Amino acid sequence: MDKTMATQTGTQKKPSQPKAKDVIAFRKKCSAEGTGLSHYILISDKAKP
Amino acid sequence: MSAKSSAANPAGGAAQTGRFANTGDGPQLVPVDIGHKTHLALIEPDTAFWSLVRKGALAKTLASPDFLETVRANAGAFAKEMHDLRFGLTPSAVYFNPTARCNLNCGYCYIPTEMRRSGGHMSTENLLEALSRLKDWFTAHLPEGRLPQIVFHGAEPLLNREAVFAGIERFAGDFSFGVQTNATNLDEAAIAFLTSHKVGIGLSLDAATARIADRTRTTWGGQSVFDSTLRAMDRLRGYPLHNVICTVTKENLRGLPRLVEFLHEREVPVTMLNILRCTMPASRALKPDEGDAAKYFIKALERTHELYQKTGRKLVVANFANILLAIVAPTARRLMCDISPCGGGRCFFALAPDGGLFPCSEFIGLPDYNGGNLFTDNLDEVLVSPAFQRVTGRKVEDIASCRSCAIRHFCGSPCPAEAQEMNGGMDQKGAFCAFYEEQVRYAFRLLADQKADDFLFDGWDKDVVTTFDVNQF
Repeated sequence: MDKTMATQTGTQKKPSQPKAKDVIAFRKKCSAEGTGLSHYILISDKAKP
Repeated sequence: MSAKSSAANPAGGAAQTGRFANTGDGPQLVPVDIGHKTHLALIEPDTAFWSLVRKGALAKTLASPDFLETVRANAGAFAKEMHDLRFGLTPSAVYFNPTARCNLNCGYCYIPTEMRRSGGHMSTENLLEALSRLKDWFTAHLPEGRLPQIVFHGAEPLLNREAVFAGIERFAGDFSFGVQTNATNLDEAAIAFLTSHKVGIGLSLDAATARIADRTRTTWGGQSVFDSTLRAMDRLRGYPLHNVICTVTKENLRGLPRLVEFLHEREVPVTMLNILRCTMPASRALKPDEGDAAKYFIKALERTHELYQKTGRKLVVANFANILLAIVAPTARRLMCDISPCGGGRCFFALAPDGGLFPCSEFIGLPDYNGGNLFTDNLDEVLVSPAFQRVTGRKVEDIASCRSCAIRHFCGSPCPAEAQEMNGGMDQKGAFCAFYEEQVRYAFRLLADQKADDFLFDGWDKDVVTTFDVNQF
């Protein structure tokens, strides 16, 4: 996944709402890197020296 | 999919096991009301497989050989994915408390009062030694190229600023660093140092007005710190590596929608609206009604969506985004509280100023969970110590009220510390079952309305692959 949780300032995308299908089901996967607890500090690729 | 032979003709051919939902070896598919007008969820709890089915199509879907075979064909891979995520990770982060002391007396803090009032600092020498030991351990245990994370946490870490900054300076390049601070010591010089070293900065703010924020966050003498927090926010505007954490209590609950407006106005990129932890008795006095908590939390989420629609700029509520990720891409979740076992002791651990090691900061006030000392003990042994295993071994399958819950792998029944301290044992659920239940239901409603991406970080799925899509079959 993109580890960048940087600001989305400047994003101009407007959400749209397509018609829901009869059945929706999907799953995605990436390398698991979950590290945070509830006191999460933003650390992204951009923070890496 | 190639399953039409398996169940299309139940009257003929050799009997095959697993043909039907909810019997024999068939998929366990639990219908769940998500409060949506047209859809409900069908969930296989063990594998965290989910689908959203139009209500009028439920019977047809449950009896569909193609659908059932699709679920069955993927069950092994999904189960392995969940097992690896739940039991196969290596710690890669440390919550590093460089001091036990704090200059604030927040009503919900999980660190004991006496410790915060008069506890000691870690010396600069010891802090550097600790980072050196941690660097060695991570070098030996993490894949090459992956930087471990050090989060200076508290208490208030910037009370020991000189030592913290010395550590960041000395070990730049060895860790990704972050600081969670109440901002009272975050002056221009501190911000210049931290931003130039690309340190993640988390601020704490509980409301958009001093009147509400001061109910839970003041100095020991009762003085407001609201203005100093705002000054730090203004200085950090435009710095992408900052976020604001709000602790949700009964005192600020109704102000959450206004708070997200306030943060969005100030171009804060990410916030967390964390429900308070009830580990310490004093914090339980601030516990909100769970129905109210869900109501105002969701109102705040909806407000962030309205603001996104209006401005094209997101304010991501990271703890809710994590719930969404837990559903659509379990391995992509970044926070490890809402999974069982939680991340405490297995994805991260906490270091106290005296070198004491705990599964999580939440346990620092509980001596029974001290697994050893970084300066005198072998970290590998600490990670499998009885103190750590009590936390790393806590599974939703062992909690009576979670065992049969269909959303147990989207929630994880946080948090073990409050389960132990408030509810009487690790085999008890956490303090906010109904609140998490409503978050998961809301997340599914967003998925049904195909709005979920609006609540996630832009680019969150850059390195993510789709392993299953029912519409491909």
